[in-house]
Amino acid sequence: MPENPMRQADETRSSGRELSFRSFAAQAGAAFLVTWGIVWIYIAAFPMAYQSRDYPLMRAKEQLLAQCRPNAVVVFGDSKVVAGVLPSVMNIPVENLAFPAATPVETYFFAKRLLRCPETPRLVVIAHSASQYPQDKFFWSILTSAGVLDTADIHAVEADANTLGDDELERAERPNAVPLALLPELYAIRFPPLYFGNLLGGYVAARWRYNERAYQETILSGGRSSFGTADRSDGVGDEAAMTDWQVSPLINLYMNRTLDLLAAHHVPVVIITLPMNDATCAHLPPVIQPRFSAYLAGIAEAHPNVELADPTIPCWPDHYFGDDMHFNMSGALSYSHRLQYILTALLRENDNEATAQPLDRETMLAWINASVRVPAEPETPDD
Amino acid sequence: MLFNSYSFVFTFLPLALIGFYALGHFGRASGAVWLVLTSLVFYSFWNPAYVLLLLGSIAFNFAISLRLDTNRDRPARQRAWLAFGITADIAVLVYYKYLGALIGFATGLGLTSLHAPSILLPLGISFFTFTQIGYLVDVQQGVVQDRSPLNYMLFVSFFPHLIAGPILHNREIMPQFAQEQTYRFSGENLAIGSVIFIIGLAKKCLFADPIAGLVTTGFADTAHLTMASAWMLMLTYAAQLYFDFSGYTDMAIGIARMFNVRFPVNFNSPHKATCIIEFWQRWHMTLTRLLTLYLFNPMVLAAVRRRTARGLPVDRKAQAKPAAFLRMTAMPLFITMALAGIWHGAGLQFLVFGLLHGVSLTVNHAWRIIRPSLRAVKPGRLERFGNWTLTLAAILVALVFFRAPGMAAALQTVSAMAGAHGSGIALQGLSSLAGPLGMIFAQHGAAAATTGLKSIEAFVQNGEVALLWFIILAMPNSQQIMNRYEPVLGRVTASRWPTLTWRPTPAWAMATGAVGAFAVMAIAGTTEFVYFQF
Amino acid sequence: MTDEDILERLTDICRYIFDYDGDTLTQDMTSDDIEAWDSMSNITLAIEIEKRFGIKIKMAELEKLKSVRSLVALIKSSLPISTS
Repeated sequence: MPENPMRQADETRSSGRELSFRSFAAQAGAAFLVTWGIVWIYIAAFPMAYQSRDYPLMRAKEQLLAQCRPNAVVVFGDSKVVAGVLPSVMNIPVENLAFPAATPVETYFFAKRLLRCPETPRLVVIAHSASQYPQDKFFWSILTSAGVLDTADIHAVEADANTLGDDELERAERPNAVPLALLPELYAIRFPPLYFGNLLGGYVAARWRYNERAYQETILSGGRSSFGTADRSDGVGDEAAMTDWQVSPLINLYMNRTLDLLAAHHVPVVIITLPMNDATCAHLPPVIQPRFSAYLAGIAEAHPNVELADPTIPCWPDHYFGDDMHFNMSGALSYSHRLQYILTALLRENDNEATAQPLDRETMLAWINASVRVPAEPETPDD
Repeated sequence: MLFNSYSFVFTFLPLALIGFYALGHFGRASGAVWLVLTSLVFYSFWNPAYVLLLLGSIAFNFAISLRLDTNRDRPARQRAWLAFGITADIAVLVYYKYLGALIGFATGLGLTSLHAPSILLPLGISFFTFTQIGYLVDVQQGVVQDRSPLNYMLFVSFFPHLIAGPILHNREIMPQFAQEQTYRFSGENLAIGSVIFIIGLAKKCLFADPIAGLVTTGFADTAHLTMASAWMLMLTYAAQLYFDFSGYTDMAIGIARMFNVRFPVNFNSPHKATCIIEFWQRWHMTLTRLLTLYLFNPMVLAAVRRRTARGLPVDRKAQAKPAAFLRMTAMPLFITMALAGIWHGAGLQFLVFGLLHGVSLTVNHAWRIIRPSLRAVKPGRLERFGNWTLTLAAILVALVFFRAPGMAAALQTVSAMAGAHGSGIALQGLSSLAGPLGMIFAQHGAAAATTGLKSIEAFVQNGEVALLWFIILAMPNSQQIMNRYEPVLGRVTASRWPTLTWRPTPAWAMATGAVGAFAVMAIAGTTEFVYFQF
Repeated sequence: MTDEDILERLTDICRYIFDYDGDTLTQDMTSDDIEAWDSMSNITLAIEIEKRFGIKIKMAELEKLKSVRSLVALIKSSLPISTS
């Protein structure tokens, strides 16, 4: 290819005189730092503009926690609960403080914050899916990133994991190439590389409206947010992907800690499990249910303030589900009504304990378990 | 340890450089020893035990080269030693890289009931094995001047090229290690090397990694690919592979330059090639060079010599005869390309990849031999475009086998490309144009809650790929951008954009700094973690 | 043998091997300048050079053939003394 005859001319009317390599390094270094600084400030100042929906969800949950609603039933759990429990249609005060990807580890810290309110809750419901017990897979990538845990909390969990010899935090999903030991502090200072993927995914500022709306909707509904919105889903959920079921030492530790903490504050607890769709039920390996049930039963035995509503995982029809794991609005309405009956019954039971006529516990539990099963007919409120 | 990691960029590399410049003050030997030690430490980050393998390989091959020297006047003995050395090297390579696959293959055919062992593949073993085999052949041929053990050790283990190339030739590298000034600090080389490194890091982290997810998603569901989405998928993968590989090579070139060493060019805008022969002269050039020098040339040379010995002609007309063509051209091509294929991985798919390129190259060579004699006038624009399209199509089809997660998926993709599953092109509006592609490429969760946003996202993602191809085809490559400072060994053609030539001006300082900042940010990943998929 | 002689003969060989119909080769030309000069034809070129110049080309030197300048140097250095 012949030399471009314009090249000489280009070079003389160039875009600047040439620098020594030292000055070049200085100027390039300055440009590097300035760029870094601008991006850092943006990331720290405008998370609603680019972060995924977990961020506004966390802000909403914090707001609900801060409201310290009196006399409320508080529901903890993971994304199934986020999608399935709709407090705004329930006629008793319920707070949905579940969080996507949460395990009993995160629930412990939520519970701790809850107990700082002037009044303790009337009842706490803990509802994690079976797939949330073997490993806290999203400890870094979703939960720490969204600000669910603060640095002190993270260090406490890491210390416990070390003591137990549990390496799940190292195996958990996290950004490439960043040393694990520095992650808690780097997340705390919103180190740009950790949020760069979000920045690109959110097209720098395209999520602002969506996130604001998600925040408002979550607050107004009492903590509910949607996942899949299809009319029905025959997708197969995470439970069926498990080949075996076993709670991790770390998660077991925090589950017990949460229940002890609540017991110390005289808060009654009920453990339930949200339903799977029929497709997942059909594909669930037979070993999962018995092991999961045995664990939950053992937990309930060990803690006097804890009731186990139903040791098994219920199966509901596909048309209540918007995706392979989560209720659509129809499912949320249906489940929330059912839950309302159960909670009402439990609350009456608790109240009745203070009176002279205790309710027959066995009958009550049997009724609750029956209620948790598939709705046979369309819902008709009957209280 | 990867080049694109914080521990490398902010800890290992600065320490290696500081030690190198400091010890270089005390002379060549201390600088060289430091470099060897840092290279071994670099290699040990992946698996400390295999450093012994690397050292063993270096020691063994150097010992063989000494035997070759002492037997210079006994050619038969010398050839025996050479054969022994090469066989041993290849045996080690086969053991680590191919044995598991071979046993699995034999078991699958029912020839044996052995259990395929899972052997951990030592990183870079193909590279350092073939580099050393080349050295042995060169010693036997008597063309190696430098026989210093320290320079040899450095030549094989030098960490920038150890893991992923470029494949160095002793003639171009060992003289550099023999010079005093290689071990002295040079501000210019440090600056130039850093700029080249930043270009490579940007190519890998900002261009290649963001679209990697699209490719994975596409290949996860090959049964549902349509013609449009299959070709789109392969264009995306080709872009990803180019920026990933050439980016990594640029990083290697840049790092070497920081140590005052110039590496050979490895990529020369391969996708601008208008025929497949040219493609291989521009893609992974050092591998092509290695295979040509030590495999292709000897085979063709032997075939041609045999013909001339029998008094047969070897000009173009003679080459056009089928039997001659088969022996002189087709067979060597197929064998070389089959090896080029399995070099990349031990599996049937890689073999098919190589053989497909063997077919394309054979057709290309046949065309060159058979067609009417060279025109005085260069082919017109339209014809060049046609050639380019045909070349790209051949490349993309072969690439399916390179990347697909299995033979079944590969065949599904290729049949989709041929139109067996419908064209997939809808004509009503932007959103439905993006529809079938969007189905394959939509991977973000929360932000894509509405279908409208998902289609826009798919549209933007397709725009991303289109932009990357614009860069591939119209923009200068890394060597052309840095042309003023002789970034590589080998000729660099001038680019059509002379203003896009790097110089140490304030404008370029700003650009370098800003791009560097984004590239370093992108090291931690450019795709976000999503808890659920819609 | 002068450089011009060598270039004349080389041009002849190129016409024979790859039907080259351009002008006499010059020192600064390389394989990039002649379309049909690839690694395949490079070898037949080498064989023909060996035959016509009466020299032996080592396999490791085949690379050098790709530039006319180094090719001329190679031929000159390989020629037996009596004809140089």
